[in-house]
Amino acid sequence: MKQNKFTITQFIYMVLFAGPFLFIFLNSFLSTTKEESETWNFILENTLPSLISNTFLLIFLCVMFTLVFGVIQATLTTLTNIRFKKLFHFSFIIPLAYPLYVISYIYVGMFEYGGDISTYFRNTYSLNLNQFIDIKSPLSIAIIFSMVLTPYSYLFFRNFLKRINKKQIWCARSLGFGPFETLLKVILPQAKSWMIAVSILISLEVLCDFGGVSIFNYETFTVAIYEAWMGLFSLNSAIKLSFIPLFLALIFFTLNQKLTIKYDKLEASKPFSLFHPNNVQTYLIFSIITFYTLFSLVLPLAVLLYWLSQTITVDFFLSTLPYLWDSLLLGTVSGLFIALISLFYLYKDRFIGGVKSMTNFLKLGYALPGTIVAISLMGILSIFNINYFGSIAYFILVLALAIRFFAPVFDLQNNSYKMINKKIDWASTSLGASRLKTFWKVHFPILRPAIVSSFLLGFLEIIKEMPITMILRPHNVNTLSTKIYELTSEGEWEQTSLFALCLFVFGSLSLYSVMKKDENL
Amino acid sequence: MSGHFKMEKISFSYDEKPLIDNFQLEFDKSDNVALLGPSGKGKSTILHLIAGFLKPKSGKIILDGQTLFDQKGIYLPPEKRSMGVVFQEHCLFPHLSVEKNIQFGYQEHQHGIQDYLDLIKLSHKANSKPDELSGGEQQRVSLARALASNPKLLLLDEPFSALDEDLRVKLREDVKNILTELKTSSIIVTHSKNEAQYFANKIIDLNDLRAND
Repeated sequence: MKQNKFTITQFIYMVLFAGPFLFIFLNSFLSTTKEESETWNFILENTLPSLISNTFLLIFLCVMFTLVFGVIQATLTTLTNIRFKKLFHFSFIIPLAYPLYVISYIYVGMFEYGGDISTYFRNTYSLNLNQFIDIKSPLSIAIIFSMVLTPYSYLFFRNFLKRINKKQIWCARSLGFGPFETLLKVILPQAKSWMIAVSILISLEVLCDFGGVSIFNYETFTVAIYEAWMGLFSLNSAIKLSFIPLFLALIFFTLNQKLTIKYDKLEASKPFSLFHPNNVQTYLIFSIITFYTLFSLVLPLAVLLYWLSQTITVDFFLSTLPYLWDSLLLGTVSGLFIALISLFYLYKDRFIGGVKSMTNFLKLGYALPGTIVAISLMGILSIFNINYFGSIAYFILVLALAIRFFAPVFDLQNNSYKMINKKIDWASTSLGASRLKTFWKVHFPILRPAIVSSFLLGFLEIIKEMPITMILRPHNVNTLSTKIYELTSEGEWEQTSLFALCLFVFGSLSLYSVMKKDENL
Repeated sequence: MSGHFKMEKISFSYDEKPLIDNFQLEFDKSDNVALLGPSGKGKSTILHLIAGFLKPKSGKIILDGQTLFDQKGIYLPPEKRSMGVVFQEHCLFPHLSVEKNIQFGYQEHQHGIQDYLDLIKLSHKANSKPDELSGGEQQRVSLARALASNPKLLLLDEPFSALDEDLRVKLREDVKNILTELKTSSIIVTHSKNEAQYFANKIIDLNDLRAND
């Protein structure tokens, strides 16, 4: 009987979570009205080729930059004996607290023709920076995106380098290879699978981004899907356009699942220094780190604070509170919802089993662009003629966010759960405790830090999220991210500063808490 | 003739408490030396100091008349010391085949890569990756890789400890034969008196720091 209950629950979740994927697949092949066919043909002939080339070019450049930046940063904080490594470590991670769209409009706001820095250089030095810097070129966009995405590759490589066998490095050294040659010929070639994994992650992040690329007016699939629906009012075309990124996401996701198995088996070794820079080299390293941190962290923050000083009034401050409240509420409700679903699956996996393929399937949502998740849910609602308002709308929004962010929350909890020895369960059950009691009295207290961290991670992702919230929010829900989109659409960069700073502060605090638990900072 | 290798008054500590204090060692080119002692006595640390992986606090290390370290500021990094190292764990480069591992630090001399493959009886597995080899085979490749760099001194850090008894005895004989054939002087670190006696003509017992010729 108990087994049946689980099967029914599983079926309900399956329908709720699988709905969007099935909907896109089925609708991509269904016939449409004449008007919609014409819209689709127009997109097919005029937009699709550039969408494909734009998306792939941006993915390629971002992957290249993040790999290079990440390898350098991870090498500096793990394989050298420089001072202030913990400070550098934190400064390399914190840019992750900037949503892509925030860092994007800060740089557009600084370097476009009417931007603060461009104007300053034109007025003070009669120098037209825009002759040298095209802030909306793919190269500039990739560099700007990479500053926010590099923490992912940094953390990946750092994890990898911490697992490198010290004696293997010593062997290479005794065989006549200097530190740099050892890095290139022994360490990095072993990182091949890690590089592929991080490349997939970055590709998915770029593929899924909507807010950042829309600020640069750079047309990728997510922007085109949004425009097909909101601009051309063709839900059908939007769904058909979704098929390609969905297909790409499936490939990336499957590759990533295969890779995860390999690096899970490696264990961390004691830290050691491969590089012992002399004074000159140390100054050079400090200069490079300062320069990078200036552009990825300090300058954007300084610009936001400067804009804030230009716009802040008591009324303006008070007017942001409802947006802040809606963001925090949505982040908390959705974060808790995801953390609980994840915990439910972990419990079932531990004591009953048979959910591996189900959780793998649910994790696929992280590979999907938010616009696709949102429009597919809207499509399903339109089929069943469900009125989209009030608490139903809020539930659909939370569900969509759960589909999108189940994977990182689940992975974080799962990694901790795997560390609890199965023999502990046997000890507990042999003492007469039921499964539920074992979970509640034994597992839960051990897992508590991981549950808190996973909630914070989900919370951080949700308050930064833009397309799902924008498309699916009920009319009375206005979050920080949706307000930022409204203001940036009108070029009101300065007005966004307080909203963006709120996101940055909450993001940094969440990140710091997660990292502190992970690294004992 | 004495003086192929010399360690004078070497001291080292990880923290306040000295682990190695005024340690001395000297031997000839024809010698095979064993550092014998239980865990925690600093045998491996001495080997790491000789290889240059760790830096002594004081003292002097000389190999073939060249100063590798002295407290006045000379410190030759590991890649410039011409020493081959074999660890207890195999430490082969997992992304390279057996042949490429041996070729990795190869220095041109009278023996070619094929000679080393023949020597360790693994010519038929030249293209295999390390994870396709048994523990004993991996250790033989480690040894061949270290020898192919034509080292002036071979350092063996408990090279057989991770192997089971039968394999250990067999590999011990193989390694001894190879070292005799190539006339390479060596230092082996071990906690087994049998192993020390089998390999070395000079044993340093770290329990009493007394050299037994």
